[in-house]
Amino acid sequence: MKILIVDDSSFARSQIRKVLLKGGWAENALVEAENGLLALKLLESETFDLLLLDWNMPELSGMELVSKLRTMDAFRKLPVIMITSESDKLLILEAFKAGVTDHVGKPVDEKILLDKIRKIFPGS
Amino acid sequence: MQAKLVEVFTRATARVFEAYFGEKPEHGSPTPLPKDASLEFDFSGLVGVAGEVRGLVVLSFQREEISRLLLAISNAPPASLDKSIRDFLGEFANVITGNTKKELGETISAFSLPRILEGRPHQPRWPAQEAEILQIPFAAKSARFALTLALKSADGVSP
Repeated sequence: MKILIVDDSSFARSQIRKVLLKGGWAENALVEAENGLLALKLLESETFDLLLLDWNMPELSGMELVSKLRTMDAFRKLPVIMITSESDKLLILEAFKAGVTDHVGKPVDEKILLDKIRKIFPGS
Repeated sequence: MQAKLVEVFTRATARVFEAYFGEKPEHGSPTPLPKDASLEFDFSGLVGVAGEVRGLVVLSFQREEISRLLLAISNAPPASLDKSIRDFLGEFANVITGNTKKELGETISAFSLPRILEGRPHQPRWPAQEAEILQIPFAAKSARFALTLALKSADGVSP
């Protein structure tokens, strides 16, 4: 299962990568992008099973990327977990309306993130 | 309200630091700083806050200590340590501010993308409004750092 991690902070990406490696994913199953635009390019050139997406990013924000993906046939059903420091309930509601599959707060709790991925992909 | 603001940001800072580094930091009492205060640290991450509560949130570290912490949790030495410090500080300040929204709710309507200041000492552009500047010192096993708040709520009360 291939996962695309999108966050403008390399520290945040490394934290998420660490959790996924502990969870049993191989290094080569994890790809990183530092903003929404780069993520879109990667999505159009490679196949991913899951998108882990930060919300506040320059270039193309998480919200803009999800909204765009949901208008594209190829990505309408791609699971997206939003990973953000935003704990504002209204903003999280907005994210679900835009099409995210689930939400995890920062700092990332290993168990919560792995449980949410396993909920989307039982047996992963 | 003012005590609550300091409490919420202090708690969030301790919680996020512990989640990243596995060390529970102790914190001291808030100390008022002068309006033109410079910070005696090598690096600071700044996030601007807008809404009923507005102003500036600053997290500051010494280079040697934050370097040690980051190297301790890295799988491999980073290509540029200073770049890693800037990146970490931006994320740290951002996550702390984001986490406070759970408790402060709509009193914070937005916060800025983080900015970094470096070189000891450095002087943030403190809010022009009459916000009081308070510094809360933290000490963990591997590092000392500081949270500095220059916040003001709409009712005119500083933190």
